[in-house]
Amino acid sequence: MSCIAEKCAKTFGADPVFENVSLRIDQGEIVCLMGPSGAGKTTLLRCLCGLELPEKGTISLSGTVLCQDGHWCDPVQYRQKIGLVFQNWNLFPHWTVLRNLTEAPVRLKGMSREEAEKKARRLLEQLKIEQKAQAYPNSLSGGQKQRAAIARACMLAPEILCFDEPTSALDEQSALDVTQIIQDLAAQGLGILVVTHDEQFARRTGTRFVRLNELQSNS
Amino acid sequence: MIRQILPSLLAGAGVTLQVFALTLLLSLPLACLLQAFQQFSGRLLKPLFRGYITLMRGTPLLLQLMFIFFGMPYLGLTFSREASILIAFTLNYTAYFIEILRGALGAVDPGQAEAGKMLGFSRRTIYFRIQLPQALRNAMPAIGNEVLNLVKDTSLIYVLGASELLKAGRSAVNTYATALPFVVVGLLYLAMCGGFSWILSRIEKRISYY
Repeated sequence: MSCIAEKCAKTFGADPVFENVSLRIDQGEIVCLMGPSGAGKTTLLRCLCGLELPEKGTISLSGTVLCQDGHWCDPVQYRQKIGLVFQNWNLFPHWTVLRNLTEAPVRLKGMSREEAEKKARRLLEQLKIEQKAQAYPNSLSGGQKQRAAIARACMLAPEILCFDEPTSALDEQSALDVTQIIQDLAAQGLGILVVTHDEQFARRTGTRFVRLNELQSNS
Repeated sequence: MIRQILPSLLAGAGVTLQVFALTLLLSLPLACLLQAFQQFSGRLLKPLFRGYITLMRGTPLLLQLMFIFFGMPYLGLTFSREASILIAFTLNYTAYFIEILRGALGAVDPGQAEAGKMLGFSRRTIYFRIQLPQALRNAMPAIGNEVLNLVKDTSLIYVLGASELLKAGRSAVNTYATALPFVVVGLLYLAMCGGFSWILSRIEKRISYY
């Protein structure tokens, strides 16, 4: 089980964002992708999550090919295996935390609402926000929103979980908590990709550190 | 005299309310559907939508009413007075509601759709369950304005000979040679708009739970 990007290239208009980038994320490892703002880290992450289509290269996960040389292959199947915790969390504000977590498994995985709620409450308990199950996202703190977004992504049991700048809006204590959560998830067997420019957080959290320019090959 | 004119004015107000309610019931859901269709349609259909919206917003509702009732028969299509009123009002107000929704949907964070996509929701689910509820909340003040405009625009159906509130008032003025019926008509419009304003503010409050 691994997510593999091979020789990917992405441009916006005439501007190349990255070229010939290859990256592999294996089960249980925490890959921290670092670099300055504007380097293309988030774009690569969005490509790996199937939100952007790279013009060249192949992206696959456990044998499911997302895209090949600028064409989508099986994005729906692929996205079922990968989760993303957005930088600003993107929780649905008109739904309670519990509904944010349960709607996708109920609608898409055929889980009963009761079963989904049980699983959601268990996850919220693990992440120490079980008392916020019936709250709306706007009433949560940044750290709580982060945990709710992680729980929502975990509800679909992804093989790979991606984080986009997970500490950018958090205080020091919340950032330490996120480190612990990410390490716990990796210990459970998830492959983790963290895009960050927070060097300290990356060194503390990751098992492997890469910079975007190091991922580019000349061939 | 008020006792004598009130029944005909209230009957006229009933017609006004019927046109208002039917137009609103048809045009708002239709606008939600057409906006979805517009969002998902390819480049070929988009000019068609823009053309429809430009036509409806760029010509007077009065002209649209007259064209459908008096003009369409020359093209081989005849509609009853009631059908003409409903078609013209629905087409006109749907166009305005589509534009309001377009703006309100634009104000919904694009990250919401991306989050839905990452969770595996279909485009239809993303639109109807995630984007539209948030857009409707954003759009409520503008929708409220249109709703109040609609109450007053119903007075235009007098051109087709329908006995709505204003026409009933004018008949009473001609019969009794006094301006009092117009004052009563004004008060009835005020009462209707005041009532709808109150309902709209309640709805706005209700959907502002987050």
